Amino acid sequence: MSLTLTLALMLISALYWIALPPGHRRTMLLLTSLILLYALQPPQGYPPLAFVFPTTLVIMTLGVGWLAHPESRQGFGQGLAVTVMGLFLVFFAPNAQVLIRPGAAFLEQGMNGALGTVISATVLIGVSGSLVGRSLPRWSLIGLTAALILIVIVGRGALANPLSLSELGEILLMSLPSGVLGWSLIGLIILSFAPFGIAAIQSFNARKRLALIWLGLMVGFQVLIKAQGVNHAAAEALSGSRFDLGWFALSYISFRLAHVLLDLRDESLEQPYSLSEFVIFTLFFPTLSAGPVTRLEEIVPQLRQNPPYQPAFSLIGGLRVLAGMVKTFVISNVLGIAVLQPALAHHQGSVPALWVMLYATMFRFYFDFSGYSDIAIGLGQMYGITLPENFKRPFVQPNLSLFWQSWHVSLSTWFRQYWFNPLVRTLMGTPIRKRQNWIVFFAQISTMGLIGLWHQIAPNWLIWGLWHGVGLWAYKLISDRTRKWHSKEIKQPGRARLIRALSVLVTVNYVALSFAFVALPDAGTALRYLVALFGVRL
Amino acid sequence: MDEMVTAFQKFIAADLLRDPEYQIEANQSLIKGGLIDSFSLVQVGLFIEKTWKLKVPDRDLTVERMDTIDQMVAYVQNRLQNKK
Repeated sequence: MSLTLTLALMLISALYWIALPPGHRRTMLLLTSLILLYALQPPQGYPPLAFVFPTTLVIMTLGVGWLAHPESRQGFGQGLAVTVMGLFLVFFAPNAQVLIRPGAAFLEQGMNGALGTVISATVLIGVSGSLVGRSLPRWSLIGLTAALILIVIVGRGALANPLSLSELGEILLMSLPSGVLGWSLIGLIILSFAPFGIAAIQSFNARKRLALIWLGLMVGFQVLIKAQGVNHAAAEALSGSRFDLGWFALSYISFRLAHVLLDLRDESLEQPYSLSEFVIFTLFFPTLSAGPVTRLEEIVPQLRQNPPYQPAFSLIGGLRVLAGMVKTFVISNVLGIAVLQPALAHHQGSVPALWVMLYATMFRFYFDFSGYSDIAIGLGQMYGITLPENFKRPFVQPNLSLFWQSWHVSLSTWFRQYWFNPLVRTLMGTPIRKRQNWIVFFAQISTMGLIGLWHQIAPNWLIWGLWHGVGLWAYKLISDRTRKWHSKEIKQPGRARLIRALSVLVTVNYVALSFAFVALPDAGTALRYLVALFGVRL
Repeated sequence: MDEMVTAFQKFIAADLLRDPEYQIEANQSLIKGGLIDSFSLVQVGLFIEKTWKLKVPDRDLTVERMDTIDQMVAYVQNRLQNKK
């Protein structure tokens, strides 16, 4: 989120409280979230994707919201949410213009974009609905009508600018590569149904089936977008030009939806909600770009309370946003001067200079990311919503386990809840339960590897994650063996302080070393740099 | 309630810390205090399931919800009450 946009949202929050009657505030949150979801999508090499990506997220959100909790259809909020969103999609979505822009190219791109959205929406809703024996919900019909209107608009453009048969043939031929891309997207969506769908149909009840299917979709999308190397090659080959696929907000939205689905699978989704509450929870604008990964029960009760304005909202929230801006736009940029760069790493700098670069890199990651979190939390506060903390003084933690309970807390908690815990539980039910160290090793390595890949599907982030996984495992082994000694030693205050200071020092440095892997282009360079930190030149 | 506290104290000391003599206070911060980790938390979950015949969803096994024995006891009591 840029500086200007953040300032604008701060100003709008004043209007939000002054000009809007309490009953309309939710609609405002909904609309602002929708507009920003579209407006902040990065420019796409293939323009219709700028419409297809956010629209697919909106459809997924509505789909999960409705399917996870069909009772939510009753009562106020459903009709409103669907109408507002439908109108928005057809007439106001900032990127929809690409679908209705007149000219020859629009026919190719517009048709593909509109068709892609309609087909993916129909497939998602239709297949899911038929699996549980439900007919299409009313809102999906509205969505389909909206899409039809889009196609009519596109068609009208074509009539105003009639083409000869040979021109039409040429356009069809030209549109083939991007059409193939569009269809591969849809194919992937359908494919992602298969494994989950088959397992689900065989062994689960209707709700569990849906949970798994939607989860499959989410995984499919993540893989599709994040496996950028593969995608780029395919997309470039298909479109014949350089291609940038960036799907803004996918990571955070899909993790929120996955939490709802997984709780549904465990039959532990207790929070009732209306569809508009669900959509605001999923797409809440301050949390789109840098999280946190919120949970349903953290947000919905607050929306329901709809508290009257308190000056503390603006004051505390505003100060928090300012603090975040200083971190992100000032401190982080200043640190940028000294950060580890591939070119600098090759220089035979002095050992202290190499360490300074390493710390600058780590602190830059911290100030940048925690600054964005502060902006999100502050903005949320300004609109009367308290978001969970994402960073809790990570650099004063005496061990790596506590570091991970204070660094990107919402993400690490998500992975503990939905990956680490079920994995450990499953392994504890197998014969290897007697070898607990191996269970810890496998669980920590896989969890941290996934957290690494969540940042970017790339070898350096995987290594970064594994580094932390190994560290957590080693910490467990060491703490198990030194617990008695440790509990005796810390009874003397002087010793306790010394042990804590040393532990913090070791933890911070272990974390700092991990950032060499993500700041440098490959593992070889990173390893050469790491040994150079200790005076060894390779 | 005291029985529950004792049950947790015994389980954590003997099975998780491997030191049956270890004294744990009911309000002592176990995970934030660095005594046990997230792996042990899953074992606490399995212990609750076995002892009180409750189903503990994975999402409930977090530091925020189960950092002290007091919190664990409150969780079990709450769940037992809801079960009734």
